[in-house]
Amino acid sequence: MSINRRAAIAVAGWAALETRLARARQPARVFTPREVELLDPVSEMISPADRHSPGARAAGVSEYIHLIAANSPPEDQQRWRGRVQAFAQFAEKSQGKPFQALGPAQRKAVLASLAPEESHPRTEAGHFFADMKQITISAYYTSRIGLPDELEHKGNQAMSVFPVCAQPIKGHA
Amino acid sequence: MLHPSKDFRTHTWPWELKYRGHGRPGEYDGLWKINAYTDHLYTNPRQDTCRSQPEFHWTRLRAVGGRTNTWGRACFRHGPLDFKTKSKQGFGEEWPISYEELAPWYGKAERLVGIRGGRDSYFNMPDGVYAGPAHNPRCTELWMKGRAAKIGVPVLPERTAVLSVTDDGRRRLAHDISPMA
Ligand SMILES: Cc1cc2nc3c(=O)[nH]c(=O)nc-3n(C[C@H](O)[C@H](O)[C@H](O)COP(=O)(O)OP(=O)(O)OC[C@H]3O[C@@H](n4cnc5c(N)ncnc54)[C@H](O)[C@@H]3O)c2cc1C
Repeated sequence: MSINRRAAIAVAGWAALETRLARARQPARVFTPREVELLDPVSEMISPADRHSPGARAAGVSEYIHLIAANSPPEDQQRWRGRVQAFAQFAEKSQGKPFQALGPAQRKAVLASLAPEESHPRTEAGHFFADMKQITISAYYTSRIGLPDELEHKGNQAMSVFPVCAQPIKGHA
Repeated sequence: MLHPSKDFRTHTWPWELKYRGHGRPGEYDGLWKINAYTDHLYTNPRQDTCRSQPEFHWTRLRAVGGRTNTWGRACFRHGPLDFKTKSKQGFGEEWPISYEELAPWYGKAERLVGIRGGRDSYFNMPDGVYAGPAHNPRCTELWMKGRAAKIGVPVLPERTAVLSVTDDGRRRLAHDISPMA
């Protein structure tokens, strides 16, 4: 895929999300459309489209989150909902407006203030950030964009010899 | 009959599976080796009708030839300690045979199977009879080895029944192997 085409897919706004969700034939909804407007940009901020590669949106991360949440046991769905709501409240309280109405710098500030909690979340909003980061990474690197295109993973292959490591990773003793 | 080109999902990409290879949330929790890539091959122990103790994990293949079709090809010998844990380490039971008695039979089996592995002379991990040296480490494994060495932890290559050397006149193929254990 050309860089231009990648970029075009990546910048297609989340207005198209509803259509894409319908196409992916999602089962029962877990998130409200308003919450979708929050999940989608958060995952894109965690793994943004840039010069190097397309981002979470292009890799279908939101669809994946919906699929997982919608097929999880009821208590897990409750947890997802509780955490997304806690995040929405946190964003509004700290920036004075709903997350959906914030500009890029303010959105970034919201995530930056939760990021330190990532490894040991103390609040439900912190949990939401940690969950989102984990599921975004998981979805991104199991997509075509993330796995073969970005990581250059070749997939399982038959080889007649197993090659010697040609470019040792810097810093190995 | 298992048909390798039809029945194995070894070359399936995660996005070709509904849940990107993870399965419906919770579907495979606690099951060993049974996942979105393999569940068509195995019986599901949760649906077994025979009674067994919960700590037993059955992995039964639904195919002629059994698990020998799907094993990981790791071929380690047990070491002297493993046969005499009670007297040497104070737990378990003694085997009625010792490592020394079994060693020649390990050698026969290794020659029959065809194994690549290193001469590592590592404690309680006896070297065997290998058709070729261990597979080359990947870059990440080299890195890991270097880092682990700093805290005194050895990183050794796996002994594996994946040949890419000629053995007994048979040429064999390496296939997406993980050469380090
Ligand atoms: C995913 C996986 C990875 C593994 N990795 C390793 C590894 O890396 N290294 C290692 O050493 N071991 C490994 N193992 C274990 C190893 O595969 C098994 O221990 C070994 O294959 C068992 O061989 P077997 O001949 O005893 O049984 P199997 O190969 O399972 O054969 C049993 C046969 O009996 C047949 N059978 C069952 N019931 C009946 C019946 N009532 N009547 C007639 N036939 C019947 C079955 O169809 C089958 O063909 C692994 C196992 C699995 C599942």
